[in-house]
Amino acid sequence: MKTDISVAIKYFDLYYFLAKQDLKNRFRRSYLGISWVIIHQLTFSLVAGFIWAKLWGIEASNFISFLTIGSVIWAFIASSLTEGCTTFITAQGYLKQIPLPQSIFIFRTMLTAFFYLGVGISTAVVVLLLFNKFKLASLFYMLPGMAILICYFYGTSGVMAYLGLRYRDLQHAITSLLSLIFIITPVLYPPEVLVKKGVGFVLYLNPLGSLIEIIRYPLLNYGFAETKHYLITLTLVSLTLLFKFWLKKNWGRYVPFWA
Amino acid sequence: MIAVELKNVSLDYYFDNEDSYSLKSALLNFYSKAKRPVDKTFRALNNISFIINNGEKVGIIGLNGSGKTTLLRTVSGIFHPTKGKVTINGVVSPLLDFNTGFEYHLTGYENIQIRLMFLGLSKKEAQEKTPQIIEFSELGDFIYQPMRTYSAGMSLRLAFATSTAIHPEILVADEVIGTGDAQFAIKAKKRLENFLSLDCTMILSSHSMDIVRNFCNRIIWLKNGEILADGSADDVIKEYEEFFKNTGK
Repeated sequence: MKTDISVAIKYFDLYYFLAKQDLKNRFRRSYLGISWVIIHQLTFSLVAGFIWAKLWGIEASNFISFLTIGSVIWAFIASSLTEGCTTFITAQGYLKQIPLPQSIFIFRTMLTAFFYLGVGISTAVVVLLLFNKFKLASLFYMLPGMAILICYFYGTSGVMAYLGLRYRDLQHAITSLLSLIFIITPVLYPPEVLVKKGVGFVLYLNPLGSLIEIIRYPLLNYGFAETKHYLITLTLVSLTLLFKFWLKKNWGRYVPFWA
Repeated sequence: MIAVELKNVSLDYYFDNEDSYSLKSALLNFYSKAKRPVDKTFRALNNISFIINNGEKVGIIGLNGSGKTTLLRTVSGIFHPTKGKVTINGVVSPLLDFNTGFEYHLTGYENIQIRLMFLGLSKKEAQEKTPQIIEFSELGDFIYQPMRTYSAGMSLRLAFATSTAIHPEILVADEVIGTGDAQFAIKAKKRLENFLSLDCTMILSSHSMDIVRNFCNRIIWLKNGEILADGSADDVIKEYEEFFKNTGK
């Protein structure tokens, strides 16, 4: 942990540059560039939100705000799993050539994902402003949740970096699993709906719901989320961090061979 | 002062079954009662010990497959030994392989920046160094084109120019001298000769006895992952050449 923090500080210029190039490259030769992220986000939450709200007979402005935040956090969670898998694979040329800490590449993945998260959250704030639901104080209540979410990304993408390098089909497995997990994660529907229908246990088996709740609740309700969500996510984060450091210690030396 | 020290270093490669990198086979292996195939290993380096002092110019010679590249990767700190201990004092600039370690969709210019930062320069220092690298590599306007459009010779020139633009503390080079066309080879040789007068430590492998004789004052001869001889350049080269004269007959 301590060494990783010093790596994060010492090599900031380097992974910042790499992440910037990754982003530039993703939007190279596209006229609208980064705006695509915002357009995608807005059309999805506005159109899908409006239709589903009508379908289920709920108030559109509430549901659209709810859906926008949920889908932003979900995209971030999903990228920790899928992008994490390719962290070391895309860096194989460097890993075989230059003796530098492997964590640099994990930070590179993180920085790219943070950028998307930042754009997503800003879009969500705009949507909230549109419906007159935004209060500045909610950003303060969101802070602990944000800190947990960032630690979660660090742990999970780190774990996936090692696993994804070792098991090359893991990314495909994760991608197909994600659509299933999406259904049992309260992104599209409020968690209470499932509890009322008597299948609330699905939520308790899925800590990702809590991960969304610790950001979504503060933004929508201007206060901290329920304590249990913080406890569940903190446990999840500690476990992934432990697993990450175990992998780093035991698998780290094989990375240049496997890459 | 000691630049690099290897103490009883051994390094094994694991031969994987073709399929063992997949999750499917990992799970199947875990659940099946069938005996798991024994992991095959190949000992690429066997019980190697040496000390290289600051400023020494060491050549590594040996046939293909004798462990030269593996040794250079170990000395650079990229491969960690299976057994034994590697101590490196100083920053290593590896010149191992010119075909990897680039982002081919990025321009040559951007790749220079990345490589220099990997070698420990700050962003500002990297920008300052870049013009002279562009000049040395003779790439002209191609420097602003994506590297996927480069020929092998062009990426080689770029890689060489970048990695040798800084004054490395420990330069580790794998059969890089004498690459490229004749004109660039002379230029490259000249640049490396500049390093000879500096107090930088050099470890390089080559098949050419002329090159190691020119550049190195000490030579390590590897065979099947073991050190066959380690001594002054003239002695070891003589031994090496005699060995092949005799076996060649």
